[in-house]
Amino acid sequence: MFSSEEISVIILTLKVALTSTLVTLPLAIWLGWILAGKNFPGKILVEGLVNIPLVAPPVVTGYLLLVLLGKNGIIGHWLYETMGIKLAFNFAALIIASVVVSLPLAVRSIKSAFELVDPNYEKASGSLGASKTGTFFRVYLPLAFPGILSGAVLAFARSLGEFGATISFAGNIFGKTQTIALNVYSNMQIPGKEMQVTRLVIISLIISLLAIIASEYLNKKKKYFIK
Amino acid sequence: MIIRFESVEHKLGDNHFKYDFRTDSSITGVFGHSGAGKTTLFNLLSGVDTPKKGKIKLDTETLVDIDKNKIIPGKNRNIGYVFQENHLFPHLSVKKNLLFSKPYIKNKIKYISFNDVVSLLDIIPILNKKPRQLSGGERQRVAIGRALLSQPRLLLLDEPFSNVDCSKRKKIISYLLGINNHFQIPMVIISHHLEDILKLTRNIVIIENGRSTVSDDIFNIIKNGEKPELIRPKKFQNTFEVTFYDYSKTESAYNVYFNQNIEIKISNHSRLLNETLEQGTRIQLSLRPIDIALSVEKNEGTSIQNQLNGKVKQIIHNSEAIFCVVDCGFELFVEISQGIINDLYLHEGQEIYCQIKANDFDVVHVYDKVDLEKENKSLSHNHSEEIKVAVKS
Repeated sequence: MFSSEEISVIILTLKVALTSTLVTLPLAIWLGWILAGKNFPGKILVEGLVNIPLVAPPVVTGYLLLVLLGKNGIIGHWLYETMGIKLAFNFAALIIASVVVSLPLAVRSIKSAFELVDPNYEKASGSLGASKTGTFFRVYLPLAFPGILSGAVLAFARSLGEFGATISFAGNIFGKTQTIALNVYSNMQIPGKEMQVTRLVIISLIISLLAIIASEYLNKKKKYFIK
Repeated sequence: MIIRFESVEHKLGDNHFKYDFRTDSSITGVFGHSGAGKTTLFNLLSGVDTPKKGKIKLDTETLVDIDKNKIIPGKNRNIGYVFQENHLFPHLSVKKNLLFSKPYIKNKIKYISFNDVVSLLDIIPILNKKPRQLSGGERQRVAIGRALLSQPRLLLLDEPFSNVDCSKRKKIISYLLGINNHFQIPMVIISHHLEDILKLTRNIVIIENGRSTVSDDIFNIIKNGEKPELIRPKKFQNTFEVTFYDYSKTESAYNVYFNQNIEIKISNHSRLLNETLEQGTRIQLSLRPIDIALSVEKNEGTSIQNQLNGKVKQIIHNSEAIFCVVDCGFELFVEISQGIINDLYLHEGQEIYCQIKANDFDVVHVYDKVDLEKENKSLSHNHSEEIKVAVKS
């Protein structure tokens, strides 16, 4: 049904989406937690930086990544010179681009899940002898769990559809950085490749739909769970 | 246990609070209208909040001394706090809620066992349920159990009767007396229902407009003529402990004794009483001052089963009511009118009979026989003031 080319593209896309979700999640939980908590100096700045990729055109985000982390970029140059690390136009670049664009979505979902937890549970937990860390792991994390899961689903879905930042920062190299979105874009312009495009579009739609259904289900569960 | 608030001041928004009192009762009631500052008092004592000024002490330990910059964090104070809204963790079963404090009590003396708590509070049938599946009364009991299992040295209960209906209220009062007696744990209880507090204790702290105004025995407060507007006669209760002697089938009354010599007949249809009660079982009773009639001589041919002989100790006039304090071996507050004073020529020192119907007594709690044995044992080994207070009051 699928050609080996298509299968390798689907596998790479799922690999990128899964890896970037796993990288995004702890970061998003940490950011969601501190942004849902008390005010601190620079909170608005942190919130702004996290959310920029949500409003800026993805190509701009990709360009900025290239300027910062590319081989000749501000940080990228230093990394290459001192440690020989290359971050652009490879698998790492796919992950970085994906994490940056999906982070705001995950953070928003997780932050609101933490905000929904009644702070009185923290009082109760403290009165029973729990420290702040104990309260985080035993009260906040389980109560926000459906929100965290739905944040993860959103990050996964965003990563699946990622195009602009990826093409700017990771390129469109078949077998290396070409995901479903990039493959569809490339093949759209080649006559006779319509069937391949259609098959990948359908696969893409199915995965997206499943992700949205999962997210909606978890959101409903979250409300019921916390009541 | 002695609780001391010394010139404690606090501010929340535009509200100022000032607490200055001392209490050493086994059960202390904190009474005041809604919004008077009762919960703030608990938050300061438990460490949820820190005052701006003053000292808070438990026995000889200083919990807070603002001048010396000493503040013991709430989690190290070892005070159990039952919140007004329970705050049971919704993601955990009743059992897991109860055991929440387990990892944090490693270095504490464990004097309260899980099995004792679940059986005393009748929690066993609901152990696997989630909090949202429980009724108000059940939730309250689980919250009390959860706080107890953190092995606290003091238990704070904020409005434990507010989310439960009237019949459940009586049940919670009975549970609290059972816990206090069984574990010998001191308690402070907030309520804006004076009659509930008085079924548990006579020692109260009154909070008005953010200030602690009185801390004393309710009888002394009335005798001193303080706060008549707060202590309305219908809300007032005579509360005392008696010992069960036998059940009389012919009179369908339970014969009980106060101090082994004053016989009282009670016929309350309480589920707490039954014919199989063991002799010597202690029973906590309450009686409203408006349910007692006075007569100068013993009446013959009356359906009233109790005619307690005593002497008028004091007549108290205040803006809300007139009380006659009668000493019948124990003090009884009787609500009277000026007409009665005139008709009976009531005066201090006068001999009088208190007429009380057998079913006017309210049975607040029937103590476990087991508790009694345990208590006698502990009394014979420990003559501390605190335990005596717990038994007598």
